[in-house]
This record gives sequence, C-alpha cells and structure tokens, in this order.
Amino acid sequence: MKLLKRTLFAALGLAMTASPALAGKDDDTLVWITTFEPPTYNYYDQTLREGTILSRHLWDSLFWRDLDTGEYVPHLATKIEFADPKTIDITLREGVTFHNGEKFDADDVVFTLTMVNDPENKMANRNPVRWISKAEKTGEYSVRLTLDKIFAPAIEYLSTSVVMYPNEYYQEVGKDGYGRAPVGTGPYKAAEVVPGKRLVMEKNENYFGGGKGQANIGKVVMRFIPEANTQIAELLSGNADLIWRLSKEQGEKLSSRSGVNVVAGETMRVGYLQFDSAGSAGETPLTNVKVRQAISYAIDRKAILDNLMGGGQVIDLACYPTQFGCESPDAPKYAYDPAKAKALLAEAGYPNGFEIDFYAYRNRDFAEAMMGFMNQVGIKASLQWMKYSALRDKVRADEVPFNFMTWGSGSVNDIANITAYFFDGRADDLALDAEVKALLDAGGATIDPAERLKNYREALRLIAERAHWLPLFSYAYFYAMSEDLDFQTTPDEIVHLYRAKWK
Amino acid sequence: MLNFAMRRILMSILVAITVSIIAFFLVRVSGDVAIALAGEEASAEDISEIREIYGLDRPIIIQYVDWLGKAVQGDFGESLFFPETVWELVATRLPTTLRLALAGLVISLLIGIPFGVIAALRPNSWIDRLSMTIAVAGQAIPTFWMALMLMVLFGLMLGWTPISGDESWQHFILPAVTLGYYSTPPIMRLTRSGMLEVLSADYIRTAYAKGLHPAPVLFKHALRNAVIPVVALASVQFGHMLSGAIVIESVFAMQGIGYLAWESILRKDIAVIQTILLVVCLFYVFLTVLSDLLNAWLDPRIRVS
Repeated sequence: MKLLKRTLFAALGLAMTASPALAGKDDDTLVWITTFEPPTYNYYDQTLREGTILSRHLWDSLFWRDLDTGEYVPHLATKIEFADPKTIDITLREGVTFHNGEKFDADDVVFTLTMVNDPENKMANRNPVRWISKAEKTGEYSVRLTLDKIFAPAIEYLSTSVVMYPNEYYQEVGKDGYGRAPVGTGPYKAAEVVPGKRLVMEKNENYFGGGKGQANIGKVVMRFIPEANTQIAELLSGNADLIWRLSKEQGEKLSSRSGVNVVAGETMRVGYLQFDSAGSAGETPLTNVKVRQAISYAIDRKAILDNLMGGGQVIDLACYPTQFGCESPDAPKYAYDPAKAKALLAEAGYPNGFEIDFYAYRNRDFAEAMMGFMNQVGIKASLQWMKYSALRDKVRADEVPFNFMTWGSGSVNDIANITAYFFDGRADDLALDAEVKALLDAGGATIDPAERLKNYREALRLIAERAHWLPLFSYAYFYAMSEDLDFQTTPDEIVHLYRAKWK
Repeated sequence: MLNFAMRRILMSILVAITVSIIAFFLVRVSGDVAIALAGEEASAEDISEIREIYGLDRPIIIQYVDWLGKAVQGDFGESLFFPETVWELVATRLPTTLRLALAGLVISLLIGIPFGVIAALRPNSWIDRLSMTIAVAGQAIPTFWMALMLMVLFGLMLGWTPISGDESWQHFILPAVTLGYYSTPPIMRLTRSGMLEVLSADYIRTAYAKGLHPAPVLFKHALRNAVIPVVALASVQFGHMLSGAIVIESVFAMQGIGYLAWESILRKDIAVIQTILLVVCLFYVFLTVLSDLLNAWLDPRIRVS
C-alpha cells in the first residue's frame, strides 16, 4: 500500500510539472471541493460538518461571535439580555429580509425554535436548540426564551449554531422541500442545488451585514468528491480553488507546487488520552494516579505534533485554549520526561512496567508513536483498533481502560462542550471524580463569568493533577488553495467562505 | 431445461436471502448505528433520541424481520440519512452504474476478444506474450491505483478528459476504461484458449482443405464457436463490474449505487446498504442464471449433466 501511495505521489508530482490553469478569479467564482454532500440542505435535519459550514453562509444567528476578537456582537438581534438566569429577552433587528423577500421578525424566531425542538418533527440536529424550553413572541421584533435550567453557554449557541428559518416559506414547502431549496438571511443564497453534484451560492446583494459583514466573492460553488487524490487533481487542473482536510504528506507535496498555496489551519479538535481512573472497566494499573502521571510524562507530544501532525499546538488543559473557561495557571504540566516517568512507575509498584490494552479509532500513526514512547518506559500497550461508533459504544459500556480519541466540541467556544461533557458523571466520564464534577456543575449553574471561571479553573487543575486525561494537542487540517485566493482558516473547523476574497 | 432453470432460480433466491442476513448482522456488529447517524460530537441524549426515532432500540431480529417483511412487498424503507426513500435513492443512482458497467464491458470485449484471437493465431510469439502481459497486468493492478494513474495522465497532464463527475459521456471514459481493463484478462485468456482449441479441430482443418479463404474460416467457423463461453463469461463479468463500481465511482465521484454504497457503509445507513446488496446480488444471480442457461442452450452436454 505504501508503494502504491508513493507511486501515486510521484505521478502527482510529475503532473505538477504541467502549468496550472487555476481559474476562479476571472469569473468571480470560488469552487470549493469537500468530501460529503449534506443529505439535505435543511440544516437542522442533518449532522454533517458540511451542513454546519453552510449554516454560516445561508443563514444567520441572533448574535455573532467575531472570528478575530472572540467577542459576541449583534447580528440578527440587536440586544440579548438575561431577565433572570433562566429567561432571555431578545430584541431583533428590523429591516432584515430572507432571500425570498420574506420579512424577518419574531414569528420566524419562535417558529424556528419551536419547530426544531418538537420531537414530532424528527429533526436530526436538534442539539443546538435543545436547551430552550419555550420561545414566545413579546412584540413584532422581540422574543423571550425560557429555559428549564441554567445554560451557561447560551450566548455562544445563540451566536453560532442557532440559525433562523423563514416561517411562512418553510410551512409552504415543508421539511423536505426546504431541504431541496433552502432560504435564509445569510450572506449567500442558494442559487442552484444539484443533488450529488454541487450547490451554487450567489452573493446576497441585500445582506444586512451585521457581525459577519458582506461577502466578497460573487459566487461560490460547492462540489463533493470523496477521494482526496481526485480533489488534488481537480485543484491542480484549475477546476477548484480550495480543498481542505488534506494529510500532512499531501499538504507538503502540494506546497512545493507553484500556483498553489498550502496552509495548516489549527482547529478546535483536541486529541486526548482518557484513563479509566475509576476502574469501571476492571482493576488496572491506571487506577493509580502515579501510573497515569507516568504515562503523561512518558509521551513526547511535541515530537508527535511536529513530525506527524505538522500543525496545531500541544494542549495542557482538558479543553481548547480559546474556549471560555479554559485557563488554570496552577494546573501541572507534563513535559516529556521519561526518567521521571520511570521513577513514578517504580513508586507505583511497576518498576518493570506492565501490559495494557490501548484503544484508538483514528490516526494510527499517532497511536503507534505513543505506544513506542510508552514502551521506552516499560509499558507494553496492545493496540485495539476500532471504528469510532464501536469504540464510543465500548467506552460508554465501561469496557475500555485506556483510549486515544479526539473531540471537536461541536465548534462551541465554551468549556461546557468538552470538559463539562467528559467529567459530568455520565457514560463518557471514566474518572467519576465527584470533586471535579461538583466544580464543573457549579460552573455550569451560573451565568456569572467570574464565578464560572473560578470553578472551571479549579476543576481543570484537579483533572491535570490527578491525570484523569492527558490532553495531547490540537489538530490541524491542511488547506490547499489557488494562489489568487485570500482565505484565512479559523479554529472552529468552519470554512468561512464569505470572508474569502481574491488577491 | 425448465427443471434446470427452476433449480437455478430457487438457489438464487436462497443466496440472496443469505447475503441479506449476513450483511444486516455485519453492519450491526460493527458499531452502534445511532452513533454513526448522530455524528461524532453527539451527546448521549442525541444518540438515544435517534435510536428511538428510527426504531434502532428494538431487538435486532425484529428489525431484520420487519425489514424483510416490507422488502418482499417492495417497500425498502426510508434512508436513515437521506430524506428520500431507499428505493428512490437506488432508482436514481442505478442508471449511472448500469451505464458505467455496460461501457466497461464493451471496452473489455473490444480489447479482450481481438487480442485473444491474435494471441491464438500466433501462439508463443511476441504478440502472444504482449497479450499475456496485458492480461497479467490487468489482474494485478488495483483498480484504485489504475484509476488515479489514468486520471493524472489523461485528465490532469493531457487535459483530454474530465477528472471527475458523471455529467457527460466524456466523464465515463476513464472510469469505464479502468473498469473494463480489469475485466479484460479473463475474456482475453478464454478467447485465446477457445480459439486454440477450435483452430485444431477437424472441421477447421476440413474448411482449410476445401480451399476456403482464411478470413471466413477464422471469423465464421472458428470465432463463432470459440466465443460461446466468452458470452457466458461476459454476463458474469457484468456482475463483477456492478460491485467493482464501489471503488471506481468513489474515486471519480460518480453518483451511482457504488458511491451510494460507500457513503452508506460509512454512515451505517443500513436500509440503503441492504437494498443495494440485494439489487447487486439479484443482478449477479440473474446474470449467473442467464449465463448457465445460455451455456445449457448452447451446449446440450450441460443440460444432460
């Protein structure tokens, strides 16, 4: 297989000697190739990343998290305020229209939130609005949201993943009809949907701007090709302007090509080692904190990052650095130190190491590198390679003592979607640390930022000190694009094409 | 002949049911369908809700019987992922795959039969060796690799053909050549061996002895008899091409049932996987039966045995 890959790269390298005919700028059309087509263009009825990306282009949220500053700024709403921790009052922007000319008002907000939240409608992506128990109209341009319990990242959700549908149009065309011809308020409108082939989006000339601002490029064509090498061939032939999610090897090959720019874009996805500290999967050496610390010292995360990932950064806390609450200056850090790892193992009663099953589902090369590092201090890890769904199943069934997995936080820039998720005492929590859980619960039970930060800071310190998790590094995706294109990557794993422009 | 046909058809139905049972359980044991549907970042609540909505919380046997009961009535259910019904999905995608497979078959016949004949006419010559080299290479080269090589050469470097997609007949050239080339060797070898056997037969010698021109002897007497098994083989190869389309369609981003199968396997869209398997299996079974019947019709010795 390696030989095949090498030959293929050699052939692609040969092909790279042909001069490119990168197009796009002349006709102001950006062609972006990605792997999957969403099964429907009804955003709330699918769970693909591509669908999430489209949600930022065809639709709008009430507020907007500024991608450069991280601040929440007015967007479809001009004001969002908490009447009390479980009641949110929203004032909507006037004068906004949907792509079909329908006026945006409180009815649209109430309809969208109520319709998506109704289990009878069987929407596949209900998660963004599940925390809202009631939405009611309080005026033509004002809405009140009522929550059953405090939801700390409410503003983050209302500024990213909660987008608004036009009530009249949706009711007219129905769930499936809307999925074939979506209408929103976003910076781009769907001009042509050819299932399985492409989605053509045209710039919304009547866009209100808001926090996102006007789109720069007139037309965006989204094409779907599953095979990365085919995507590369299309880029090199000039039929595409942007491709993404390339491997380090592919990115490096392409970077030597004139006419093509390659960038490694860091993402919010974090790789981690999760230890069964509580011993739910049976008694193993990992229930001993010194063993977990030893493993944390034994693995050279920086070496893996530099040699295998080619981008991203080493992560020391159980969250992504930009997420709200992801700070804990007193938390211990585990720099690569095999001697210390050996000493800790000896102290724990394992001077000659031990054998353990090690579960993983992606980046086999990363997993094998980690096994090599563990082997150097005497720990013989036996790799159990599985599909994601099978491994997640096994973790939740308390059958996994030690795993390497990743988490992207659903692009939510708040610790609630990662740390609080993995240490909340439910199925994905292998630590079952009551003290950590209490701190995270306290952080999630208030909307006071200072109070939240205080609790999260201590929780993160305890997680690191007790080595329940070894956060490894953030992931990087390689993007390759036409040299004519000015495109900036963002860590939320979302391709914000309305920000792209021609050089 | 009727008994023979009935036996083959009955056997085929049993094969189709067995395949569907194996496929159903293999998909289920490879991980939780609800997790695959909900996506990697889904919470336990999302997954539980999806499990309930799609009836995935029921015992697996019940789910299978339910599916089979509806399938025999022509209701293949709804895709777990796409908004269309499974039958709509498959029916929309099937023509692309059939076009591709047919084009592939034509290419393999156009290469395989002439080269097989020439190789037989000049056994152990350079042309025979060249044919054998082509045959061995065709069998040895993975279709995935071959597809990418053709794409790089003709699509990217020379710019003669489109690189991916299925919107025009030009888009079918590279995928059909890839698929056809893989099926060429058996056709070529069978033509060669058939021709060698026929050319040494008494009636060919008699034809030459009567002073007939070599061309009619070759094409009218020899080739007509030599290609009889090739016709049967070609129908089986057509079935191979339907399953081979999974790789080819994914590489060339063609919206056929092969690509749909790949997507569905990835997402554990069990109803779609089941239906595609059943369709391909039925095609394969039909073609095999057709090939058997054709052989039996052409060769009475098979009917007797």
